Amino acid sequence: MTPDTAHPNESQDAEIDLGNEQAAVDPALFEEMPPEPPFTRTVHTTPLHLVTSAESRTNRWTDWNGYTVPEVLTDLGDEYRALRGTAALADHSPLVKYRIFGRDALAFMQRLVTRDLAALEVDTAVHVIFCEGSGLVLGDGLLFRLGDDEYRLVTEETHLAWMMESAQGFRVGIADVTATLALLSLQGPLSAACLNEAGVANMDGLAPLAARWVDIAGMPVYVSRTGASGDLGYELWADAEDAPHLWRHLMDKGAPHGLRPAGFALRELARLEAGFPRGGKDYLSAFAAVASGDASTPFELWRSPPVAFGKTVFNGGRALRALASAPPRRRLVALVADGLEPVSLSSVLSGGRMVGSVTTSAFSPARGANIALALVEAVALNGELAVTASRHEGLAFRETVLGARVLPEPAWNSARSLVLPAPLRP
Amino acid sequence: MKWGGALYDAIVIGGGHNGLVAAARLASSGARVLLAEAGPRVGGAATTSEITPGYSVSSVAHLLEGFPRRIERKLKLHKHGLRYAARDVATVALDRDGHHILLPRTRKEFAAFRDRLPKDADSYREYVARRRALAEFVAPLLGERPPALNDPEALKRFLRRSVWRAALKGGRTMQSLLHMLPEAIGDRLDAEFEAPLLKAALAFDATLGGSEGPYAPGTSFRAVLREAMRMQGQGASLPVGGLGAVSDALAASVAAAGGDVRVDTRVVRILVEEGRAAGVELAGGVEVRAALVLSALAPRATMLELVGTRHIETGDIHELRHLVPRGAAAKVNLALDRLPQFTGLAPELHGSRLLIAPSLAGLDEAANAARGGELPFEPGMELLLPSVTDPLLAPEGQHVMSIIVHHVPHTMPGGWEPHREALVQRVVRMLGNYAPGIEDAMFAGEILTPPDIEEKYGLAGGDWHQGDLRLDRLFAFRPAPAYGRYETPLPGLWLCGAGSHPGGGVTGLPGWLAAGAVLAEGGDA
Amino acid sequence: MERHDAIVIGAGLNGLVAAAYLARAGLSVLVLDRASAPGGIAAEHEIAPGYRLPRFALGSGGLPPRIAAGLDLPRHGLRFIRAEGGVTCFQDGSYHANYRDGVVHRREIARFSRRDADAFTRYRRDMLRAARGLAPLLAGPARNPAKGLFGGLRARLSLADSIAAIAPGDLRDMIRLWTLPASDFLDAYFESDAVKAHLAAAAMMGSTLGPCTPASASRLVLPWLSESGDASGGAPETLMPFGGPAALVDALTSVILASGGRLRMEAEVTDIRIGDRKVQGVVLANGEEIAAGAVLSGLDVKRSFLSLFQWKDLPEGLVERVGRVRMKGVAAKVNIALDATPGFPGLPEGCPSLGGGLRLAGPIPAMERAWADWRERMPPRDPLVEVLIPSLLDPSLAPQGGQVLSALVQYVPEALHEGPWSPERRDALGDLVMARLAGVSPGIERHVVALEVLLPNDVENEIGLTGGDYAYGETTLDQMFANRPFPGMGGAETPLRNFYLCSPSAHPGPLVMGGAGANAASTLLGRLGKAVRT
Repeated sequence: MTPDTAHPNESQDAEIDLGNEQAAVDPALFEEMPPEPPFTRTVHTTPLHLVTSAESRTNRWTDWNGYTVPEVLTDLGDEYRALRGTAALADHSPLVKYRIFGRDALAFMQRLVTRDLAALEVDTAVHVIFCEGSGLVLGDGLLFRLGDDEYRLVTEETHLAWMMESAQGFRVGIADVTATLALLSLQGPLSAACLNEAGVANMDGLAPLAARWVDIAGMPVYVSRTGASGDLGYELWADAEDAPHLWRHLMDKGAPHGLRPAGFALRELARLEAGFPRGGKDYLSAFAAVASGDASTPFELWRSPPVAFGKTVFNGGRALRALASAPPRRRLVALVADGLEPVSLSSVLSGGRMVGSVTTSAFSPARGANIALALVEAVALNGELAVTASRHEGLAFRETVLGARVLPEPAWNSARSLVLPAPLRP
Repeated sequence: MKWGGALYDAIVIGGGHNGLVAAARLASSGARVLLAEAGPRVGGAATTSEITPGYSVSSVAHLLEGFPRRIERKLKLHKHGLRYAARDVATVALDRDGHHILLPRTRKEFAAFRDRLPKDADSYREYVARRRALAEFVAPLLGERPPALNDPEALKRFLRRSVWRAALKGGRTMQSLLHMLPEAIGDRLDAEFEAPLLKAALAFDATLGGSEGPYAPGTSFRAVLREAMRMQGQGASLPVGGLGAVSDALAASVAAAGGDVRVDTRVVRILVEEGRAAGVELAGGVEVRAALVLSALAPRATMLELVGTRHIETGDIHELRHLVPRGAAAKVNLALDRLPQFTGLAPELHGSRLLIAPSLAGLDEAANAARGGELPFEPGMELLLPSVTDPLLAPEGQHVMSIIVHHVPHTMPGGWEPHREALVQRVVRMLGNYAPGIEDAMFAGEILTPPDIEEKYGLAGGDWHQGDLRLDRLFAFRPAPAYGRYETPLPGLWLCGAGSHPGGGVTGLPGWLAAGAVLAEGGDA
Repeated sequence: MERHDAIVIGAGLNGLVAAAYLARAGLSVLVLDRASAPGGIAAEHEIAPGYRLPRFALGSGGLPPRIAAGLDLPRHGLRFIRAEGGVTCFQDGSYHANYRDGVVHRREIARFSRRDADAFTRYRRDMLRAARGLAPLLAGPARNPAKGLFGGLRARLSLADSIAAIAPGDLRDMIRLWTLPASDFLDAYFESDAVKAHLAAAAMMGSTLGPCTPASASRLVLPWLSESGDASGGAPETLMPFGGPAALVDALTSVILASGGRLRMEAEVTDIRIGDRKVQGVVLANGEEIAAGAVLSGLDVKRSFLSLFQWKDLPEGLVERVGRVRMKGVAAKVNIALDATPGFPGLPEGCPSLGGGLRLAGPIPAMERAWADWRERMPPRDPLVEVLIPSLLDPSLAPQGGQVLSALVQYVPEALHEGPWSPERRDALGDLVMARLAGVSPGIERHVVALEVLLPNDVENEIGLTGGDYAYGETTLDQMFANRPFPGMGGAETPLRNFYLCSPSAHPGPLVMGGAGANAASTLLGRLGKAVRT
């Protein structure tokens, strides 16, 4: 089943309990629909749609890569407090997932991404960046080595055309498993405890970026210690059919520890606080950047991007070697603005001149201030910065200029994300 | 580094004339060179072979048009045996009724031309002058290595130099060139001339070897390009012994400079070590090492088959993805027991280049048929009777005829086998219209379809141009931007075949310029 | 004698646009047309009692917003609708639709190839880049790239520098777009034949090139010219005048009249008066003379020069140069009145893309065959058909329950190799189009109230468009920009003083609706020292 051919309603109609009001949040689910032409529905649903629908108290939904996901399930403040204080569970299934397999899988990946993968062990993950020939970023993501000749690449946007083109001459297969592989993100200081409660033993032994197959309530689940929250957290990869049961099981067992379900807004806030850029929002893939200035190099987007010049050939290598020698023209930086009121930030100014744009901004409860990711001209970074901030007051639209500073550290960067969790109570 | 006791600085893959020129230039600069040719003899498209014992003919290419004097002199080809049987070969557009048109070279010939075509004579003179002016502007660009595209300063110098040259010629050159770039030759000729035969003869050169017809946009510029290519050489000439004599002289030049020419030596792989070309692997597993490898094979085959995609970036492969050469011309070689009698053709013109193409509409139909995978009903043809000026090619009183048949599909539905005879029939029928009784004079012959040319002479796809002469694949864009100046994304590997600037034809220029580039930049390696 | 500041010959769309600009600038303007109603090829026509549709124009395409706003058309009753960009139906029953939403459009492509769905992002980027490069060239008067070459050495050298400054990739992309066949260009992005055919079909409408002919790739960019490029990541959409071309004609007429201009219908201009080596005015068929400070011709370049002037009055060589301009008819128009709404069972119900029209096409090789047939002057065996049902949007065009259907049939030669079109051949073409329509809408043939087939010759005879060439001259690069209508006369200004060309025979041609009229007006006003924003 793929997102393009899936007709989720047909198979799941039977599961909907019409007596349950909580389930009736998405009216689309109850329309009489013949086998639909693939475009009459602009969004599709994830395998976890029914369970998240049942959790929703707000009926606020958003579109993520063409999938309907909850924006907020209960209250963003509550969800945030759970994430930072206890643990939060969210449906991240819309992330694009590719399975890459075959004898040449390693060689193929080595040429595709800028990082050297020679030392990547089975059941571990790394952050990878991939570029086109001119050294401009196409995307970034997390690469898991699942077996000797098998990898999983998880990205924000689709890259199938580029991967297929790159596969010429390699004995590899590439499968888009986005629709069939559900992804549950369990993040927060008590996430290990929640897993323990759910029946997974020895979670405290799992190092950051490591992964392992476990059995949860009879379901095989691949658990990795990953997640862009800047804190302790796990991602659970499960078969689409198991996913709803896995969600319910985790919620049942975790709720007593303070586990709360969360929506997409929390994911955006958490990754902003942790300083992770998102493809399509904080940077554009070189193939989508209509204005050539909208495409970026890895050196602009990441402070020390994983680019292994020691590797022989990889896409963009030649160009990146030249780019690395000069300091980047602009940089993606985290900013914190003065003032306590929630506003939305837009342009970055220096001495009255516009020197950059804010790509993502939000009020960070952790900093108690507005923070942002912004692409800023490198020369301006040493000087005084300001950002334009706007908000609605009644019907009026207020725009002000606030002082801003570059955040040397992410707004949330818990040591817990790097160390093994404390031994769990039995 | 050793093979058969020898050490090499450079290995040249492919013994066509471009490979030979590159090897000879490198060897004469003191490099220890190995030239590896997969087939049983060197020469590629510039080969002479026997149709039947005693009757020899240039197998594929049959006329030397753009072979530069400097290559001939520097490589001492005269010393190595290159002689000419005919120089400044005339072109005659054959007419069914015997009112042929000799494209004039001299004042006297022009007077005759004016008598034959009083209305078109002045337009012709203007047309040729304009074509020449444009070609003179383009010609120097064909004789040098293209400028680096990623170096705006070099490009600026290059363009400024061109502007100066155009200024010296008066501003109109550049304007007509700009206008001509997108134009179809047929439209231009229709506007200027009346005689269908003359129009077809002029369009013939612009479209020869390509799959497009005379009404395809961009063909007008090809006429200029073709003329500029001719300017590289010394006029249309016939070497004694056919075009194979050029290759033989080149091979002798390589050997004289201490180079090693080996036939029946197929390279199966280019060795890559630490991101550099390190030598080649031969069929049978022998590895020969050298810091420099030059390939005269088609760029796509070189990179995708010999190097392998994993040593090249995706974008650089993508550039080659559609570079599949597909020939659009066939060759027919005939042995004749007497001189064919062309209706109304003066005896002294039997040694000329004879064109059979009655009209633009005929060429257009032939091109459309060929692109639809059908044999052209009345194909355009270029004929030579080399034995008229070079009697040793055939027994006394007997002759060989060499024919390039225009607009022949590369592949036929259901394969070539059932259509071969039909093509020969059409060629002979066409010939019979112009030289009645020629079918009785023929007693042996061979037909080379584009796939045959590839198989027998190693010309990739049987394509005479080795890749379309398209604007987006010329100069530094030929064959593709990352390969445009003979270098490749793989350090140590260079391209030196007709797939590179300035392109196909027996000119030796790609080989010459590539070796020059290697000597200038790759020598330190 | 009656006298005006400017006379516009021909009340076609571009003539009206030019007249509207001139009238708004305060000139006294008179528009003359031999027809009984304004509109030219866009004029409305009753095919059967109660069934109205533009007789010759297909009626798609929109006026650029800058012209609509510059002429204040919304105040004169013109409304625009955004139409999603059309559906291509293939003969095997499959279809490919356009959606402006990127996610939906990619999902549509994914029905054919998931890889192509992803590749669309890159294709879209390149098309928008090309369109952005092209738009400024089409928006203003033609600039002659060779002009710099005549402006002294300094100008030429600076031109060389500016070329060197173009990024090599961009330079090559530009060359590729203007020289490659559409098929090769698409092959570099897509693998699915349906996806490629869908894109090529839209591009080839109105083209004298085939999809495998060099230089046809440039047409792929046309649908993207109106797209701003920010929005949604999907296929381009068009801004169409609500009520079709007739509404546009009404609004333009209203602007002209409101600004003091006049239109005279059934007034055929037969001659242009030249005196003192300047154009002085026009002579009508009834012998009446009208004087004018300037005359603008909305006729095609051949009619303008070869039929309105005494040839002896024209500068040396002009007749030959005009004669050489290539104008070739490539399309026939088929108008059909239906007594019921046709169903399209193969298409999903309520498919929003239908508003942008329906194309009946085969794969690219079939299109190329159709083109080859045209070159050999054969009746099309496998035509490319574009269909609009304007009454779906504006029910007043047909009686209750009925519909009018407008079809443009591509690759129809002006004359056949066997001679002129015979009535049998014409009927056969009508039958072929009906058969193709019945392929996507079974039973449609039972609802035909009236059907007319208009061949290129009919277009020429009835509205005087040479060769029935809707493009007013082939749009290959050697007849575009500074080379349009012919090298040496790039733009509206002609070699004759006070005589201007405001038809699409001049830059920017048919690529920008109303663009030629706007250009002519601004050229004339510039001459008169009046600045105007077009």
